Amino acid sequence: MTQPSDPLLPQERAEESIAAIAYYLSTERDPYRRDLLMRDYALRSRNIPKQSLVEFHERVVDSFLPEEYALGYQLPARAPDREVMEVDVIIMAVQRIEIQAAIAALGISRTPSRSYRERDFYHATVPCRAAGRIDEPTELSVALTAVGQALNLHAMDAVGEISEAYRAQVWILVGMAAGLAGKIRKGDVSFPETVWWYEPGRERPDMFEPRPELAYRRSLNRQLFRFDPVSESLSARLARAVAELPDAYRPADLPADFSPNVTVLKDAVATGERLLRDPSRLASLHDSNERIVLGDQESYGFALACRDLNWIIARGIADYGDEEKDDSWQYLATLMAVHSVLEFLEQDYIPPRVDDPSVD
Amino acid sequence: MAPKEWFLEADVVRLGAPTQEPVDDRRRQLHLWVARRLLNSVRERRPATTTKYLPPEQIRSYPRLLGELLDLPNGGDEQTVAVIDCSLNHYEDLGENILYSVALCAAGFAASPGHVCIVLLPRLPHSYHSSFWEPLNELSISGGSVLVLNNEGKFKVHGGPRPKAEQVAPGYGQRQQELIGSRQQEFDDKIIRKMGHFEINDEYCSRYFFDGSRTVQELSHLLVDRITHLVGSRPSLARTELIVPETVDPWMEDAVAVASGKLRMRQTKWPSGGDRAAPDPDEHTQYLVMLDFVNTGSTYRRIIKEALGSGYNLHRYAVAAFMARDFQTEDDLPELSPIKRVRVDRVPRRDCVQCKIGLPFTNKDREELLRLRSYDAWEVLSHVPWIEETYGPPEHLRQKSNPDFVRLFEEFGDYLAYKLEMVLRHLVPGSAVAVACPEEPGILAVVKRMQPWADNRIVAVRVPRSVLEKADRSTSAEIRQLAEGHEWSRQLAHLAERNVNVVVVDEQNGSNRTARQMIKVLESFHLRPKAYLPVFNFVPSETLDGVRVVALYDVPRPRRMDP
Repeated sequence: MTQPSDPLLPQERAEESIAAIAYYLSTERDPYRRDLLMRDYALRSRNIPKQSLVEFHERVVDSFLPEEYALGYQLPARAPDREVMEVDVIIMAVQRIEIQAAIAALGISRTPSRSYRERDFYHATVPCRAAGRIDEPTELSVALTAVGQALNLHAMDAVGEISEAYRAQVWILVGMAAGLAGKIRKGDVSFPETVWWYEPGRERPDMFEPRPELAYRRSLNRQLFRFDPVSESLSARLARAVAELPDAYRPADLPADFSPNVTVLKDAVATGERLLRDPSRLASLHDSNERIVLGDQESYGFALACRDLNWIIARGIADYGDEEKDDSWQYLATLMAVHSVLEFLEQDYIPPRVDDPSVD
Repeated sequence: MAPKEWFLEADVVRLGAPTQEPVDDRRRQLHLWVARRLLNSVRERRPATTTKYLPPEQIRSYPRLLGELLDLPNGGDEQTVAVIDCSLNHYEDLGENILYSVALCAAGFAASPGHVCIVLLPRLPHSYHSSFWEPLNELSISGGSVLVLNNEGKFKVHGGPRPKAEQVAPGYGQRQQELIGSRQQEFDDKIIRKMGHFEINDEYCSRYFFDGSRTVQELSHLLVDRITHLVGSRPSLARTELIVPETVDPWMEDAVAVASGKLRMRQTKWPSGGDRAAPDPDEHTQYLVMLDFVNTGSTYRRIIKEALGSGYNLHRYAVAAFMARDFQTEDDLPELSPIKRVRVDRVPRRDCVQCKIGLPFTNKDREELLRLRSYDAWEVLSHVPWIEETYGPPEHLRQKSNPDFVRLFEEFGDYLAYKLEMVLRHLVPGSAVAVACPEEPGILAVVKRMQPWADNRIVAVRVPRSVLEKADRSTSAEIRQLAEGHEWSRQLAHLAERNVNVVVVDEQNGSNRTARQMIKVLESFHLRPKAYLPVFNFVPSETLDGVRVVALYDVPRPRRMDP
């Protein structure tokens, strides 16, 4: 018997569940309902570290003891407080190499600043000029972390779990993607406007009827609209990052005059659970929606989980999703995506507190 | 010579529903009553038995389909009275296209002498700006006639011999209101008492939060009635303005905006504190304070004190949408007139169990959890007696100790229905959805709660237990045979034909048995349920026979545990 864990439907924090159940166990006398409460307690306490359970277990055991042996605790066991940190921006990457590239772009230490549920977080600050709206640059606080596993469901789950520990004004998914050859080049960066989840559909005996789902961004588009992807400062930033690229991450086929294109609010990213190793897949998706020029495995899960939040997806193209794909461009592609994101945050993003000083 | 008999044909139109539903017997009686008040001798020839429905996509793309659906006879010698009953829809849902389409049908039918068409609408369309009246204005006096009635009994007559509408109007509004329910009842039905851990202020917590966001329209009507009642004559109303706190819940803001618009009354937003001063009062104006919720009364007292201090001439009454049942107005303050008194279970912070066990405050504006918290689930389960199951599976399979679900839903049905609806919207976002459930009192009470929130667009298909029990041993063809002639089978066939998402809901899942039977019945109509949603699931799992399972709360209960 397993407890359902559906990332689409956020669960109550397990510590809070068992605090409530332990409390009801201390008041409930009916043996049948106590039995159910115990089963519920056992089910929901499974994923809590043992040391955090001691106090709850004591109360539960005490509730079974005859009055003369019971300690009769004055206060019920308390769920530990949520340690929710407020930051301006959460940046999420999926793979280890993407985190490495993001750490390098942010220029921060590889020692995590915090761990929550075994997930590492790296804290950083970036300057923010708020599109010239403020005289003195302010700072944006950033928390960088990893999804840890590919696929939409895991990205969705990660957003839920991270939001237990962080609140942020903007959630950003950075990393690499496969591109459609002829339409986008390796190392180019896309900030897609929409996400096209191509997997859903109806399986008929003779055919598959696709029923793709779409995710759209809302008000943050107005801010992204301000971002100039051909600005001199972005070009210079990306050129500098390429120049400083460690040899280990320099692709053998990197052209000497490499200069990535950055596109904003133009493309759609196709996303599905299958790793693309057949370029015709992306091409056929492009035929059904000509904005589709790149594909990945996490964007829909991320965008869906962030549907009530401000979110951005920034993908660097690492391969063409074909048989010959290798890993040599992954670091550079992600590095270009992260630098593009940082350029937007530093130059053009206006945090809410600039317009409303009461927003902290 | 005896007067010639009239034959009644009636249609009930339901906009936005994905399939048909049975028409209540009392509504058929209303049609007959209206026709008989209007004409001398009326006999039912084709009463409305099931609703004629127009799904959302067809409202947009093909509103004239309504004309084909209604299929009113044109010509013929017999005296016929047709009722087109659109009164159950929100006026806003009708839209100009649909209204015009209804008018075309009515006018087409009434073009023949001896034909009378009665159009029942929630509101009369605007006399000048609505195209609804165009086809009716063209009716010749040598033909039949059209009577258009709104839910309050106001009417307009067009065409030939004028029926005696004056005889219908007085009783009609009341009868219609009895069927729809009083405004207060409608308001009560749409309020959601949310469970949680709500922060009232620095000193108090509350167990419940009353959410009026689904009942803005009803609340605005009630506010208009209440203000009119308290302030009195038209000149007094003209000299009255409203004072509303700057920070009220958005639904209250909307309801007050509608009410003040209807009453042509200005409103002053009262500063929520700090050093911002209130605007200067007008010496000829009386001010009526209006609040969303009076719980401890601190906001109320502050506003009154500040307003009096600033020289405002306050009305001797103030109005609140909700007021805590135990709140007493102090003698020197305007008396509070609440639209609804509620039990809030307010507790001082030092005594609050949820604070003691470390449960965070619940966000009243944004639902962070779609399913139940353990604290709420166990309160719900502990609040009602546990009894032997009285309905559901055959007697030998019934649980000996089971929550009394009928009582449970009486007490918490609004919140549980709200949660189910949230999950439903999450699973089937943006598309038409129907729910299928066993025809049993507990879950039907919950579904009935959900329907008004979606303007009755959530259609419920009730599958009788007798059919479910036979489903185990029957083939699909046999199940369809069992279903023949029944309303629920017609509904399922329509849903399958139109490819509508169907979700199975139930009060509990004790053994997967009923769930499997429901799935089998639906599949025999080529409907694959999108999900199975029991309120409580005692057999936790993520899927059942490939169908996704999402419960509001999971507690494992092996069958052998039964005492």
